Parts: sequence; C-alpha cells; structure tokens
Amino acid sequence: MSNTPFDRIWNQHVVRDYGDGRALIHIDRHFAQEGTSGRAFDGLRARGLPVRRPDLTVGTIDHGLSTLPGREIDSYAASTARNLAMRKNCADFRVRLFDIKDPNHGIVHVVGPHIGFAVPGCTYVCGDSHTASCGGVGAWAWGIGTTEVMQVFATQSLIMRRPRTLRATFNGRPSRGVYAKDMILALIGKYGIEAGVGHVVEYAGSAIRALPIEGRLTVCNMSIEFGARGGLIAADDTTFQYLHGREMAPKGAFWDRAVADWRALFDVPDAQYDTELAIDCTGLSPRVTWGTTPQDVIAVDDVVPDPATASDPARRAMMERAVAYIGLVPGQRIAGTPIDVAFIGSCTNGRLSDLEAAAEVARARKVAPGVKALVVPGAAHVKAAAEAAGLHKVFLEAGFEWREAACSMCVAAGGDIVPPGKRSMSTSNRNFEGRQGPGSRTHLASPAMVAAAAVTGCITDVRTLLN
Amino acid sequence: MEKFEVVTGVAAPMLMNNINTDLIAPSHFPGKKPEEAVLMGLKDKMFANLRCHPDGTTKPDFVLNQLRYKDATFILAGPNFGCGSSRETAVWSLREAGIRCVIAPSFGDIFHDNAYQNGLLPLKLDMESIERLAKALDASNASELTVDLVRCELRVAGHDPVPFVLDESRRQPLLEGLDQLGFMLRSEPDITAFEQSDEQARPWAYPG
Repeated sequence: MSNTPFDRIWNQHVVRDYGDGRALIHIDRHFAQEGTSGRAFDGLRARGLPVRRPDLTVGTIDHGLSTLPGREIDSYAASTARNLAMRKNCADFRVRLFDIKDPNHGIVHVVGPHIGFAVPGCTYVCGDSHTASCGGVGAWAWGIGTTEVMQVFATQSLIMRRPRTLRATFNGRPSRGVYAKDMILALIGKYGIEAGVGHVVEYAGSAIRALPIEGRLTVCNMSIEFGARGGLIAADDTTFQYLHGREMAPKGAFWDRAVADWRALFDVPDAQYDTELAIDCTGLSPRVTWGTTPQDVIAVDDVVPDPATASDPARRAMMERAVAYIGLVPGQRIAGTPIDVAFIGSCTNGRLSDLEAAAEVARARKVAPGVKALVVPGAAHVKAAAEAAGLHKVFLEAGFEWREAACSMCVAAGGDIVPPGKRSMSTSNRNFEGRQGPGSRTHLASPAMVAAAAVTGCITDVRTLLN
Repeated sequence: MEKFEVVTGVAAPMLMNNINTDLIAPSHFPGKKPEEAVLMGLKDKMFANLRCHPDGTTKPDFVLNQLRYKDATFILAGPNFGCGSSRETAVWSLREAGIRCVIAPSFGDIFHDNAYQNGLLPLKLDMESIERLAKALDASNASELTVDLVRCELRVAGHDPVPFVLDESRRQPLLEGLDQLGFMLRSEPDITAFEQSDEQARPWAYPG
C-alpha cells in the first residue's frame, strides 16, 4: 500500500532511505515559535552551526503574549525573557520573524496558510503539536519536539519512520449550526484519542470537500487529538483559489506549474489505505465535551454518560476520574450546565469564519451576568478583517472582551487563565486536566456553541438561537 | 546523551491511561504566580497538577509523593502515555527527575520520538505484563526493577525475567549514547544534492 497522496509526498522527499522503514526526509517549510525553539537555537550556538535554510524558515511569537489591548512584548512578565530571546535568535540566525506588530503576526498555524507559506504537497513542520492544521491546504504538516527543531534548523531534514495511512471519510451534509469542529469532535468521539497513533490521516468525503479552507484547517488541526501527528486534505480548486496571490505562495509561471503538480499529486482515485474510518454528517448534532479528553464528547442534546456502562475497566476508571474532575453527574443533561468563562480563539477556531459564526449568535444579545467572555483573534490579519467587517463592535456591544492575537486561554498563556474550579466553554482543542489553568474545567465546542453559552450563561444548543 | 545499558532503580506505578504532556509538564504550578513558576526547575514542576491540589497543597496519595516512590527511576503507565502537546519539557522534566524509562503499552507519537532524542527509553509492553510487573514490584521490599537494554529484558528479584523487543535502530543509539544530529550532519552532501535536483523538479517549492 503505497499509492496514497501522502505516500507520493513521502517518496518525493526522501533524501536517504535507511532501508528499515526510516528515511531522511527533506523539509520544505519550517515555522518556529518562541515557546519551543529557544533551546534549539542554543543548541546551534553550542555546536557552531547556522540555520541551514533561512529562506525556508520563518518565526513568530505567539504563546507567551498578553492579549490585552495595547500589549507589548513584555506585558506578560513570565514570558518576557523567552520572547526577547526569540527576537535575538531570529536576528542572529537570519530567520524572518513576524514580530508582534508585523501584519503577519499571529498564531503559527493561523498565519502559515494565510501567507501561503503552507502549500500543497510540501513537508511542513513546527515545534507545536497542532501543526497538522496546515494539512488543510494539502501539506504534510506535523508537530515536532525541540531537538527536532534544532535538527531541522541545522540540516533542513528529519529522520522519520514512515507512518501508516488512514482515511477518515465524512459523508452526508451537516445541518445548520453544525461546523467543522463538530465533525472532527464526532470522529474523535467515535474512534477515540488513540485511533490515529502511528498514522497520517487523510480526511475525505463529500462533507470535507464542501468545507471552505478555514473549516479544513480546523479539522486537520485536531489530528493530534486523534493521536495522529499529521493529517491532510487533498488540495482541490477550493485550495488553489484560497492560495492564489498569497504573499509567499508561488507566483507567475511557478504558480501554474505548482497547480499542475498539485493536481497530479492528489489525483489518485484508486488509493489504498491501511485503515478506513467513516462518519456520517447527516443528522449530526452540535458536539460538546463532558470530560477531560477530546474523546469524552457527546451531542449537546445528550446526557453525561455513566461510567458504570463502560465495559472496559480502564475506560471506566478514566470516565469516573473525568466526571469527578469536571464536576458533573452521570445522567444529567449537558445542556443547561452553567459556565463561568467563554473563550473564542486558538489555532483551532481563531479564524475569520469562526468569529463570523460566533458573531452571528452574539449579535443583538448580551453576555450573561457573571460570565467572562473573551474573543481572541488568531492572528493580526484576522483581527483586521474582523474589525473591517464590524465584528468587534458586535462582540463589544454584547459584552465580550476584544483582544490582541495570541494562543491565550487555550493553553493558559499570557495571563489568560481559567481560575481553579471554574467552568469554561472553549473553542480550543484540549480539555485536559489543568490545561486552561490548575483546576480548570474545560468544555470544547464550536465558536457558535461557545457564543451561545456566553449569551445564555450555560451550555446551550446553538440551533435554538439561530433563525 | 547519557548511555542506557543496564539500569536498576525504583519503579513507580502510574497505571492511568492517557497521561498527557500537559499533565507531565504543566505550564503553571498550582498556588504559585506564573512569574514564580517560570523560574522553577522542570523536575519540581513535573506532574504538578497530580502532585498538588489547585491551591498548592500536596496530595499525599499521589504515587511520586510517597516515600517509597519519590526517587523513582522508572514509571509504569497505562496506554497512550505522553499524548498531546509536543512540548519536549515533558521529556526533560522526567529526565531531570531521574526517570530513565517509562514502560507503557503505547505512547503519544511526538513524546515517543522526543524521549529517544534524550536518552529516555519509552518501552512498549502489553498491559497485562505491566500489571503483573506492578504486582511483583508491589510485593517486593524495594520496588526495584532492572531494565537491561543489553539483553532486552526486565528483571524483578525472585521472578522470571520479562523479555522485550526493541527495534535495533532505536536500541543502538541508546546503548551508545549517540547524538542524532551528529549522525544527520554526515548526510550533508546528500541533502545538498537532493535540494539541487528537487529545485529543478519543483521550482515553486523554493521561494528563492
């Protein structure tokens, strides 16, 4: 089985085959972020090595930044040293940095596709587990550790073990109020957070083809929550229209040649995958998590499951722990659960279409008393476009805070933190214990669902608010 | 990188599923301000949310807070250990705390690779064997385990050795303490040749 688009990308990037399932793979694009690259730059210094291909490398500062209006690089004291180190590292090693006032500044995975740094068929890495986002434009993109970041800096390559292939086919047509986030949560809920381990996932089917690029980025973003380092969607006309003319995308004759290559690359009607999974999107309800892994997810009109019904003792133990941590009672309806915090943002759901979906719900409504509601655009360009469309006014009038771009509350960064015991509805990707702050309780959902919870004060089926 | 040949030490049982890297290496420390937490050593922050209540008080029942296990060299865990975030601080925390090997049925992919880069052995063993091992260790006086990478077996005094299988491409670098970057740099001529021919084949991939 070696004829999938992924296999073709793999074969095209082999510098050296070690003959034991491993190969030295060339890296086309490397996006460095401040949180995971400091020790990698230090390692280069210690060895007297340069960044081998600064022309194939860019950097940004996205994790440890305050999102308060008017923020500077040192507004959040705990991260200042790391942020300043990133500036110095990029200057010393001739890496183009999208600094915090740069129009291309933002969360790595929101910026990469937007500027055309991520393109179909390329190998794309970043020291961040949500790098698979960029698979939404047909790149083989995956998250790496800091030692690997150093290795890519030094050699523009990585020793990889060939992953197995998995195709997840989404058929049917999601109804109004159901989004890309609900689709990927449905997949993780059905098959579990380990299903993708050792695989690269290709998302396919009519419901995927119908998604605009931003929805595809959301689906691919959560590949790691499914266990898969990489996930991608075959590039098509939607992809080409999206990328055409973007700052770092191929231009002129190179563009035409690139599109021809990309069409050929993804034209594999008889591709064979190691594993095939499927989700029917027809009749899918909006999803919301009830526990402490993304597989702990149910339809918003469902009840919190009873651990006693789990046949596997390990699963039962996990469910019992999750229910206790999250502070819910098995059998209770999840809708109606009061919330304290609503967070709209992150590399999963911090793009313009996400803010539009949330604003549609927030428009002419008010954030419920006692709820802290945050909108954090995923990048400077998202913030600018949202403001041009007047979305910031919709949010501010409703009582949401309108912030600067960064990772923010997804990972309790930059001072945006959920207090102990408080309940958050969040458009981010992880509901792990302590993820949004020690003792924080996180429910993952789509931007529209989070906006619905913000204005009603409790977990609510957004379909009841959409006309 | 520190060589891994034959290591003996205390093995702590943490038989939970899905111990993610946020749990192993949290960005915050319960009860401490962020600017204080950022100055803490990685090993002191390790498992902070399992080790402490949100107000910072100790959870005495957490395994690594127990006298018997506080200086553990090994961790026995459930499936999918190290899932989630790519943060290599998870591996560095464990190494700084003296952990040399985590034994689990499966691992998160990124953690698994990060571990090998730092001389931490992420050893895959079926859950049944891990539970048997945990039982044997629990019944022993010192909870002492030997991980023998030369003979590829685990030993607990008074029990038959438990053999394990490890890919040679994983085993040899650990035995020798090899630095992978040094090995990769030897391929520099291949990388240059690849880039030259690739730029002809895919000129659009090189911004120039």
